[in-house]
Amino acid sequence: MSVALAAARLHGPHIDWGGLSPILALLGGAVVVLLVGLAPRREVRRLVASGLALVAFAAALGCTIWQWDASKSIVSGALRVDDLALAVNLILVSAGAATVLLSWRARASGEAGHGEFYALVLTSTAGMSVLVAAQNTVSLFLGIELLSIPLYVLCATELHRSPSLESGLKYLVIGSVGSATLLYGLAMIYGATGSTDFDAIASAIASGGLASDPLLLTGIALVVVGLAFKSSVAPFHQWTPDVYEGAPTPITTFMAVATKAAALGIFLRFFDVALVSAQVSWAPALAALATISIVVGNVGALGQSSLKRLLAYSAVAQAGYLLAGVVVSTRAGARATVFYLAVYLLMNLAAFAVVVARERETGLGDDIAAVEGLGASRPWLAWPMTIAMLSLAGIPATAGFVGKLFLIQASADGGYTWLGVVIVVGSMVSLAYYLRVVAAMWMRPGPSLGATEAASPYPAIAGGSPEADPDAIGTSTPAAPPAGDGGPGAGAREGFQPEVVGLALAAGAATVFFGIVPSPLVDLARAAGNSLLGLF
Amino acid sequence: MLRSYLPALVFLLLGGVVGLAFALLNHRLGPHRRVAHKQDPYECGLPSEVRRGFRFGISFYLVAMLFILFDIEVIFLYPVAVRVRAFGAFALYETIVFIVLLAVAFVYVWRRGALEWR
Amino acid sequence: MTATTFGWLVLLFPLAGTVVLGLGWRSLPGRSAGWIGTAAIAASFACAVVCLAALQSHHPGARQLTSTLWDYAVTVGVDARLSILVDPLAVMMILVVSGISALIHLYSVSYLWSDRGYARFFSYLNFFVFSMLLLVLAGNFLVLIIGWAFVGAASYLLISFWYRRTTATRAGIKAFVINVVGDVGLVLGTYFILKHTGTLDFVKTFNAVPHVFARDDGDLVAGCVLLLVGAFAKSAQIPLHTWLPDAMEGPTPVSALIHAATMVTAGVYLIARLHPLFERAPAAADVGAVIGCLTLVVAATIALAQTDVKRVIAYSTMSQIGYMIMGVSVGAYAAGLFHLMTHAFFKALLFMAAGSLIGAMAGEQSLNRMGGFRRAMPFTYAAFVVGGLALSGVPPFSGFFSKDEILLVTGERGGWHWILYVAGYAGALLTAVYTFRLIFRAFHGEPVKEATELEHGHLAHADHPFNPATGEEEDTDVGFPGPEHHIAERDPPMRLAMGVLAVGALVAGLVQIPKVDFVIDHFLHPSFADSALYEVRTKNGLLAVGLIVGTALGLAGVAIAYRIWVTRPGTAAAIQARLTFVHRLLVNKWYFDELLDLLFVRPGAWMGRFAQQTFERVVVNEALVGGTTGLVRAGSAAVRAAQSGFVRYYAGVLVIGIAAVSLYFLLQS
Repeated sequence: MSVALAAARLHGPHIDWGGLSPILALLGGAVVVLLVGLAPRREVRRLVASGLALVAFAAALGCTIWQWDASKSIVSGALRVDDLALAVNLILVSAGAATVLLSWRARASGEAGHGEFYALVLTSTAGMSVLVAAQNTVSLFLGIELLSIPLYVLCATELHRSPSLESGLKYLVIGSVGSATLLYGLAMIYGATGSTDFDAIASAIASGGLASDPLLLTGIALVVVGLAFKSSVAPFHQWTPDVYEGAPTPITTFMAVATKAAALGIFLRFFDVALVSAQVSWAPALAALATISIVVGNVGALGQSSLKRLLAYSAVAQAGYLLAGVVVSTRAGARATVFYLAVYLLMNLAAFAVVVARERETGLGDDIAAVEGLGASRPWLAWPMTIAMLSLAGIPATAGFVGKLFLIQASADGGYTWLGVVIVVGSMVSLAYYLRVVAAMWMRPGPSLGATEAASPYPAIAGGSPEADPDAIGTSTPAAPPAGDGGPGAGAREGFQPEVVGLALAAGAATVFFGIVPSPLVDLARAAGNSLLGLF
Repeated sequence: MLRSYLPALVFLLLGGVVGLAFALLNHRLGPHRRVAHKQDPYECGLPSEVRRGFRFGISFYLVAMLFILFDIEVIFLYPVAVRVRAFGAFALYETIVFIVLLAVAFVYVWRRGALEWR
Repeated sequence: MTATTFGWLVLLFPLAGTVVLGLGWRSLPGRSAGWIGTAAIAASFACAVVCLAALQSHHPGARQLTSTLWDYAVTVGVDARLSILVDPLAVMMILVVSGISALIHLYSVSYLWSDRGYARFFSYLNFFVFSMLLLVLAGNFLVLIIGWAFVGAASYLLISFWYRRTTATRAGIKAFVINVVGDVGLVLGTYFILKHTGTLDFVKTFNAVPHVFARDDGDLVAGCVLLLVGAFAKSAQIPLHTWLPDAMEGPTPVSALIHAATMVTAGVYLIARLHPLFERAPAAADVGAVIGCLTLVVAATIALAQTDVKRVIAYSTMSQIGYMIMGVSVGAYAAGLFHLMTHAFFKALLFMAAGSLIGAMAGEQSLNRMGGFRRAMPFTYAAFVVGGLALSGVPPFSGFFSKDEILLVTGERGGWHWILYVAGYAGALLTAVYTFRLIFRAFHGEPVKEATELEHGHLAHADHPFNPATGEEEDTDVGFPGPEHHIAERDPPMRLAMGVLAVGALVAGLVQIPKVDFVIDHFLHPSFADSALYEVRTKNGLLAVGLIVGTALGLAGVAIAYRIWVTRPGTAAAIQARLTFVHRLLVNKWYFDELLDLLFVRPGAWMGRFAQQTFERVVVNEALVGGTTGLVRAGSAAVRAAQSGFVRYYAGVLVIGIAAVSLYFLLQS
């Protein structure tokens, strides 16, 4: 028997289980969670499915950390496991775990079935992991599809709410156009260079003098469009606000954070590895797209009253910032992008967690009115949101500031100083709408919600002096009547949601922490940037 | 550069021309007789029971789709079967994993009631 | 546990105190807020003492320890780290700052007790101390700037602590604005240095300075002068001193803190810390010396004519800081820092005694209304006399040794430094006169009503709460001076704090007696090992002259004051009548406020008005803002209009986008 096994081993291809382990953990988790979804009792389905999903994410996280500092190609060159892939993987897996926490009480997972819901989240994350590790165009496309198709479904999981269905359908239709464009572009690049492998493409371009080949350039153009679509870069962003708004908020969070990280990860790898010798051709186009994105995103966000739409436009603008790190095609740029992706995860998690919490508490949906007066009534939610908004706007002492600083520095070093200026101007404009949210929280009286809005024991510390201005305290929260059974319109009311509030607080605290002590994230980003060997 | 695409272009043109030519010839030369049965969905066999506004039940699509999915998945087993000696035991493990995954999908589909006709 | 660990702990305790008090102000019962604040600073002081012991165990050549907590941003050209530098200079500063601050906290536990902002006060106070400790422990320019700015912010919070009082908020704003001017100077100066050395770290900067800068290099002098602007603003040197007397609007412990421990000494520390820069740029150092000398004389003359108790002491601080700035600028580092230490003792003591006096007067601060408190408040009187003698430089009190040391080194530099030397002694005479004018007018003579009542055990009450600066009535919600506010020297914590300081003021000078011991000189030597001007004094030189002249002038000043204000009470009025012009000049503080007003505030206001009414309304509002907001609005509308919600339009835009991008790439080929 052992002889047979040894012979078999001789025949079988080598499989690097370690390198594959994060993806295997996610996919294995998906299979198990799907089966748990068949359990007869509803509570069991809910608890065990989400619990196992968390376990799967934790396992993937562990495997990612275990593989840290690896640098190897697996699956006969289809995937590459290096610090870039692993760093982005950390971001993806954290985002996935956070999504599970946010979905814990969501209507969506209940309506669609807990097993399916969490299995789809896991599958989508696995697709993202494949995408950021892709080392040839086939695995790139495989990753894109594997991440997209579950997302189309996830968007539509609130089966009894038509905006959710609409967003799913829209995403499916436009997403297919994007995927098709990308595939077409990849095919053209294959046609021009004769290879699907990134390194082979790079050497074909460098040695064959293909940098001005129309076929290749058309291919690059279509790939740019396809990836820009996935990372919601203007003018290919138009699905973003509609889909973000319609989708269940936990899924919006997942899309905003994880999809963006995966798309930017492959942007970095594809453009800075495969197409690095054609940088003169594509960099100006990407820079132009980044600029358009920053302008459109920031300008579009100004007039929004829906928090999710606002964050969607903000995501468009932030995608523009992130592209700046890709444009310059230097290690510093890659570093800045990865750093900002990590920061972006934290800021958006904090913001979306608060939106999720308020949606369930107030029944006002994601309208900005839902957070009015939050500073007085729920400071533990108001603070993370405030931090997130300030960090997204790039106020010093938040991680967003450090991230933007690195991006601007990378742009300036890479010869794109004007792009750095655009980032600064964009951040200035963005203050207008981020501060509107902050103002709504701290300076407006809360909506009269009745029972669930008990006065908090801790009023705002800022402004005035409470001990001498008793009338300044609690003007916004008139003595609340004792808790009754829901006020008028108490449809979606939820009580205390420790996991959501905890997530918001943790993400907010981390945003501040990394704003003051950025070095751990800098180390992460540095390792990721250094793994792009072709850059200097 | 573009010259290498010339044969393809010629092919496309020729294909189009030939197709069009046959359609036109058919239209020109063939007899035209208007009979009521010619408007039916099926010209032969039993008279159709189906009205124009008929819609297939959702279960039909579901089962059809599942059939195609499992059908295609099973096709993947054929290449393995052909080269099973070259790969030895590895191919066996691989196939087992594959079938287990299929079985999971099958169990899921079954338990969720997708195979029940509604 | 190394010395640097204790350095971090020194910072940790006040910060923790700030946070605890800031978050828990609502739920802290009784005096616990005060005790928590005091304990935090006391713990900080204890750590500073241990830090001293740990540092002294090192070899003298290895007493510059840097410790980095974490890197903030270390890239090409910038090395921003959170690091501290523990060396004898820093340790001396943290000892003085935390020690004196602990006593001031102790004093405040009683003094502020009836104030409604009790916990808030201690939270601010801890923050102030934390900021100053951060400033003196800073291991690089970045941390220094952060500490520097924090100190400015904390001073704003504390000066306008009674925020319902217009004069207080205005004084707070004034202090803040002038401090920001200083901050700008500091930042710009740092930039001048950084541009050449490429590092923010102190030790690396000092090592690099001899290599990258020529002597009196243009950029270096410019940088140093800008740093001096920062130092002048914090240390209230001419012409950036006008905030200091106004800062008396804060509660008296705040005045003590600002003057003795935390704030005004920052400029002295800055020059001492950055001495390798200043020694390489003697031109800039000379600016410091001259301004310091000018300030010490001018401030002393102003103090002669002021009638507000706290303002007299405030001007005396300005004058004394002038000595220190002059000292560290001419190279008398040890002497300047020695004076800083002794000054901290007697100035804190004087302010606490003044606080006691003001409490007895129910908030009244004018000297004109005081008199004869000698028997009513013997303890305060004793404290005042000890502090006054130390300030006047009468042996063997502490001020005598330190002040003479500064002047001695100045004189020995020779050349035009003789002018500074002579002016310094003139200032010393004036110091003795105005100090004892204060004492004689407040404690001698006919007892006023409040004093006699106090002798019988009745505390004075103000009928209406009023603002001592303007006399107008005000509401009591901001706390002191409320009608139920009683303070005097009767409270144990206050007595304890004052007693310790009095002992300090008496004996602190003994650590460095000429020709006997050189504790300070030897202790500080490792910090100034690279200095050409630093020497441990052993030779005679002007020593004898200085000691004799100093003693004589101090005693003479006391005698003059005694003659004018005690034996012949009419003399002062006669002198005023004869020298009307001089008197008016001094009462109006040499018209510095008016000068600054004329030079900066009014042109600034005029330009502001012009900018607002003409420029802004026409150019900015209509053309720029109107245009920009219009553009942004239109853009926003356009983006929203494009967002129609119909997939077909999106697909259309997508196709147009694809076409545009493809076209661009095809044009490249």
